Amino acid sequence: MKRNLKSTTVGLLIGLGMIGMGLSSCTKDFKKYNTNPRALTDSTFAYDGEDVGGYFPAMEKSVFHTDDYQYQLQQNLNGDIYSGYMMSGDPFAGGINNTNYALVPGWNQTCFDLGFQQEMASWYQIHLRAAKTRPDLDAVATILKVEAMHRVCDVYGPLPYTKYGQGVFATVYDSQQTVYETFFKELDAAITALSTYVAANPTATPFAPYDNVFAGNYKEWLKFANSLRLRLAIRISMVEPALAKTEAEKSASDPNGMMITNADNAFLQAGNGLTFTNPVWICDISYTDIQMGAPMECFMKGYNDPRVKAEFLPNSAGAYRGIRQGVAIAANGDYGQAAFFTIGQYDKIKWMTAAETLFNQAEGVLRGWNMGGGTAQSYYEQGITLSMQQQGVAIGNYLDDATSVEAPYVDLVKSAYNVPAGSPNLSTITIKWNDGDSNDRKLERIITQKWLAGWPDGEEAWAEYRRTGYPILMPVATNNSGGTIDSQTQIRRLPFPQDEVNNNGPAVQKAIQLLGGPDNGGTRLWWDLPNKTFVK
Amino acid sequence: MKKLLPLMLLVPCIAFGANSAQKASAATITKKGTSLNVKMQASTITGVVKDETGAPLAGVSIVVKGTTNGTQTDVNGKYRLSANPGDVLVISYIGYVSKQMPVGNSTTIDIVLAPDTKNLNEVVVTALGIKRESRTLTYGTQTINGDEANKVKDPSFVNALAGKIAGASISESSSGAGGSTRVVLRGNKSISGDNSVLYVIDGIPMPKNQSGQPGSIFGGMDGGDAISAINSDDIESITVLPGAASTALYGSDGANGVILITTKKGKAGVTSINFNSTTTFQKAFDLYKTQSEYGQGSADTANTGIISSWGPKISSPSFDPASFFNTGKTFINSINFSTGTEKNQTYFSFESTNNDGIEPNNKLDKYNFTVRNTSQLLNNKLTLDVSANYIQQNTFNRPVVGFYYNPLVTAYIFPRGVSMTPYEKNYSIPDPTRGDLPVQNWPTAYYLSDIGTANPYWLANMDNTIENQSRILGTVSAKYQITDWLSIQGRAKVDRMNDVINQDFYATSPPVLVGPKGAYRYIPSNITQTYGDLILNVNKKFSDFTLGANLGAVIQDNQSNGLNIGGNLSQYDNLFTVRNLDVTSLNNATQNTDRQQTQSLFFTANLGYKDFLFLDVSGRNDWNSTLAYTNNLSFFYPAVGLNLVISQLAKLPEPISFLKLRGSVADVGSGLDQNYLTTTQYPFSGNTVSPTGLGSLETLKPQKSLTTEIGIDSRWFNSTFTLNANFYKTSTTNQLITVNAPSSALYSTEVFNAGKVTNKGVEVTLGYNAKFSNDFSWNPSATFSANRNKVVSLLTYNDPTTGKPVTIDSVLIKNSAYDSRVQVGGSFGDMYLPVFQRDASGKVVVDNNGNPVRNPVEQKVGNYNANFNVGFQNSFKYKNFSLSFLIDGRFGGQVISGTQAVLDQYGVSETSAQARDNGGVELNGQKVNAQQYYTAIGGRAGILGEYVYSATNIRLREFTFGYTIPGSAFHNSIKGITITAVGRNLFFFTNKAPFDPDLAYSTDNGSQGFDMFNLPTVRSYGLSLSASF
Repeated sequence: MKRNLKSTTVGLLIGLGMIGMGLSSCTKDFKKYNTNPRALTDSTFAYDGEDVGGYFPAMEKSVFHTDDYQYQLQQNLNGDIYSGYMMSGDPFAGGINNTNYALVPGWNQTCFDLGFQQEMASWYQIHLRAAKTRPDLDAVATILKVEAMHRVCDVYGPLPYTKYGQGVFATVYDSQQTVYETFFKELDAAITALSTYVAANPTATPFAPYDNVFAGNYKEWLKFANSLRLRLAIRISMVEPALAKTEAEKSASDPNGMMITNADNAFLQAGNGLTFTNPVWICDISYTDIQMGAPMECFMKGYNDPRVKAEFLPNSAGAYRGIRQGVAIAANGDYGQAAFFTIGQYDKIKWMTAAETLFNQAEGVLRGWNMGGGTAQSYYEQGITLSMQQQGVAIGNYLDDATSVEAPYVDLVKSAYNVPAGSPNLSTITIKWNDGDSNDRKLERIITQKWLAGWPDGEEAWAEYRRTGYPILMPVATNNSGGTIDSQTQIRRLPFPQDEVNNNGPAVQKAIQLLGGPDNGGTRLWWDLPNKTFVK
Repeated sequence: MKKLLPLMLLVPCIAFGANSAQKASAATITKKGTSLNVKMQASTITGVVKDETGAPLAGVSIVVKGTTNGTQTDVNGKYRLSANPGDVLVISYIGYVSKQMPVGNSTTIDIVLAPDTKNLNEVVVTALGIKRESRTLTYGTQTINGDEANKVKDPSFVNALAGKIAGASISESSSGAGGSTRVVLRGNKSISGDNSVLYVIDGIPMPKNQSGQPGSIFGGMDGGDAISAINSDDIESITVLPGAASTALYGSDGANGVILITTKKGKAGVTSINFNSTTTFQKAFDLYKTQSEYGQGSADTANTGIISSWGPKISSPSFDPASFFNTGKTFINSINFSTGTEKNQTYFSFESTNNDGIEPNNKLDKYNFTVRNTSQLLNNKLTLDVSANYIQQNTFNRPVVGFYYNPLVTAYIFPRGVSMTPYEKNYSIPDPTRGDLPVQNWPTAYYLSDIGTANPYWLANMDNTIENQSRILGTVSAKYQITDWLSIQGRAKVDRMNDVINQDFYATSPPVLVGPKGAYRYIPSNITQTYGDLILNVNKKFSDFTLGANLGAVIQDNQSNGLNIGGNLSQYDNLFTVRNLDVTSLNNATQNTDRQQTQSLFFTANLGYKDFLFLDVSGRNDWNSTLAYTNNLSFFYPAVGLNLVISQLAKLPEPISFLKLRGSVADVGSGLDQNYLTTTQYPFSGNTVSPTGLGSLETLKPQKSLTTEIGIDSRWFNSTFTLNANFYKTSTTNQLITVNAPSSALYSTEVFNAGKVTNKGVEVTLGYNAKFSNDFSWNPSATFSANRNKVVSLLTYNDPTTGKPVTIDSVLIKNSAYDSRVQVGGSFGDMYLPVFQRDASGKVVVDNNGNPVRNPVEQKVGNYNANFNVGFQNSFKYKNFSLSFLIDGRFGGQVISGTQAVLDQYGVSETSAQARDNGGVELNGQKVNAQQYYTAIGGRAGILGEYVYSATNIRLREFTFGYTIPGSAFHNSIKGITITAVGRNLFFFTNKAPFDPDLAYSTDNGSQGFDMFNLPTVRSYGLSLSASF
């Protein structure tokens, strides 16, 4: 009996042991269990080169973000307002917010996040896989990266750009000068690589399945890259004139050419599986959070600008009214009579147009650069003509108008916000080119028209305003910056995002040293000189 | 109660057969007795067994000495068995001194048992459902019987445990009936992972089924948890195993402690029907204080075109937010039926829970069915236990927190002095220009796009979330007694939950949330847990030694599948179907297929020497599928414990009846908290691959948690007074930490094993059993617990570019309601928020408009964890009357009120009126205009760090007063009827916060201690009637 019991026990122990061994051999399925069958993983991702191409849509759709509220924070509630293009009639955050220089920390985050989490992160992945094998795709990714990141750089200043992807939690920042110099090097390399590819494969369009800007046409990408290089050269023309001249002339002389006809214009459009709602439409018509800015009203009105009808919707009285930046808004709807926009729900998103290149060429000539043989006046007038064409309006005798100036501003709600005729906050520049004007006046004329043609990209217009001081914009009606931003000088940048301050603290502290001033909205960026007097 | 407890613990023990050899023969003998052939010439002896107070004792074992002839007493203490004159009856019962009675010529033998004051052989259910005598345990446990836990019923029984468990922090999410509850034992251990307790039903772990929790201030809805669905009436007893030593056998799942639930089963020889009906009413209380002095407007000027209440003084009445809330009604009806013979016992129960919440249009209906059969086969060697549960739960509009879709936002900030009546009566009006489409009645001026405001009655009625959940659980357990000291047991369980959520949002809901034609979301999911184990039990006695050992294998497999698709409607207004969704919805749909499997081998051994020295050793090896693709699929973790029953070893001074010292050290390992961390996944939407993903510094490893515990169990003054205490220290290392990397990092999220978090604490339970006469007794008990948490280290890694070590001493766990930051030297639960900028002298810096300036760097403003918790339970019995109350206090810790900040911003709060009365807010000795001040610091983006309150509160958690009509009043046609008036959460003795600090925004780690339009706390009161037949 006892023996029997023992053998039973031993048998059971052996049984359990076998179960145990069985268990460990069962763990061979663990890899299967721990691989998500419904996720894109390394093997499926590599098919058909999607592991490179798949990242482009993220890059293209995040230059101007296409997901509703992200655009609102990325650009609409800062650059679009600070440029004078637009203003919000919604008293966000109890009416104390970015529109009156109380910079809401959470709002300063999105532009940075999109730049790094979408653009830089996608570029990194493409570059990782394509640098050696697909020079053409690598080159386009670089152009896209520069297009996206100069916009981010122009908002904050120093950026963790050249060392990106190296640290895990902490990435060091570069000065804005370093970032810009890197942009030029990157564009040079990309243009060279892409030109080489096009020369060898003149009809190939491998980028077409992923490209929603130029449908994979590398020749257009080369024109875009040259125009972008010119834009950046113009941006540093005052702070670093020699480099600016070199880079600008490279673009002007590049055999691939620049964007000089409206057929070259860069717009993001739906296709290749990418669908989006125009983000400006979302903020404007869907959210009713954004309306026409006062300077836009006053310039359009003063100049009798035919583009007003193409860009804005009249109010119930048939007028195109704007809101002045920083007005105190008691309730949503107080400024209901200000103009909304014609931009439609599914309209394509403007990145850059030929008109801008022409205005940049005009400024280049003014600065003594070789821009391809034209005069400042010819480029200037061609820029206006292209813009009118692009908006589908007849130019009439607009170019010959030597008398019209910006109209005074009458506030919809409160007369205290009015800007009467004769105020230094109203521009006195006219439209018609006058070779006899000083370079400063000429520059004001070029930039004012570039500003009118630049609608609705407020971020670019804000950058140019900061660089040149033009067009003349009315200061904020109320300033809640706590003294960090001077009303007359206006806002110069956004503070570094809270997330970076909290989680990349030491690097941000060094970045503030590179910035050369406190981390607030009043500190000038590197290319934003206090003295803006024209120096040739 | 004192008598009931051992009885309840004994009953399942009988059914299972003996587990511990050293246990007095009660159970074993009973088992044998059932198979005995009664001798022909014996006479029948009958009698009643009572305790010293004359109360009958049920389940007492009576055996004829030297034979296997035995029986046990019924609920009335009566027994009947055959014996011969000259035989000796051995009467034994757990917790009482065994007695021997010679059988004389009398056929009636009544017996009185005296309590065993030296050595209360209380049986405790431990890990894997293994029952052990409490005095053999080397770690602390706490047992609460089912009746005690459910004195005042709650739709989720876990909420009824508040204040009753030492060392537990129980926070109910603000989501009404059926919502989930966060229960943390002995402090938070895991930085990024789950800190909640594991529920184990009859030895088998229950999946958490915890769905997404609202995190950001915009809110969301709690999806409930698995435990809230169980029928509280099926609970026989609850044992809390707070420490690692007790839970080592549950591996990772048990690292945060275990609440072990033993459910009822049929009883041999007893047929009973119990009926319980509880009706309670819920009233919102402790609401935010609003003002009715100043009306709609701004700058003291009336303006009907804005929602703010910064207008002039008014005389018109203001909407009272309290009137938005209904009186909630909860009906819980349950019936259970239990019967059994020696060979077969059956239990059946049904419970219905019907709740109308305090928010309009919020309902919960839950139905539970349980059937369980236990049978003894093959000459009682084989015990089969089979049970099935079916749960159907339908939830309608579970309340949400935060801004979005939350009617409480506008119920609170509705302009003062304006009548709500038109908006309440006609929240929806037909629009003839849109084919009589019902459109929201709400002025445009009251619509705030940044927080998505809407008519509160519209939100409550026209934005509907309907959840239908069905769940089926089946368990089979077989135990074979190989010899009297060796048995083998196998169990299998399947728990499958199907859940379907439909969300219909009608056109003209807030445009920031819902498209012009409405929106719809469809979320079906199912979760299946399969569990199997095989355990060999050894119980052996060798002269002075006793050995209890288990050797086992466990497999646990969890699978879940789900789909979440939704978006704006594209074509037809208010047609809520997937086909009517706009095209982008498909790109944004999410689908999950998860599978996790753990396989384990374990052993445990308990060696006893002369009933005073006990040694526990256990070890477990897990293979965990979440570790696939790492170097370490398998990991082992041991535990060892020792206890010394001093009162058995030495003669102690008279007052001490029992004294035991114990200590244990246990290591608990666990896999990773999530699936798929070890493989790269590329998230995509449409044709767009999202580049931000998960990065990992190194190969992930199993996590570890080491706990040292010492404790004392003692009884004093003839065991009338008990004092138990535990001191513990837990050190959790190799934690899986998920960190939101800064934007400039390559990956948005990084996971790594690192960090060391320690928890040190003490738990004390005190009990007193006062019997002033046979009619009057008083049983107070108290719990005290304190826990200190410290983050010792976080992470050091080698920077891939420089190769130099980088030390990270601060990580942000979650950036939502507030920044929940873990900082070396700080502790878990530290809350970081914007605060005022102050100068060197501590003065608030103001800008040139007189507004306070925000400090650009967020500061630590508090920690949500309590310094200590105290619970004080009292039960009085006088004849057939009973009265009990529970006072529950939480001391220390901070909470944040976002609601107060928003009410201040809109000039609705009482504080804002007081400030106006006082001519402004005093700042640095000067008055700042109230509106200017509160607009600057209030609101969702305000200086929330100035809205921190002490979480200290003391409340009357439970109160009951009952009367039992004895069976004799009904000529014993029924056993008795008890009518009890019950109340829960009745009032605060003190509460310094403007809301209930024990209510959580959600059960997330980073959302504790926060209020942003949470459902207010409710006072619940009503009547409970129970009858036994």
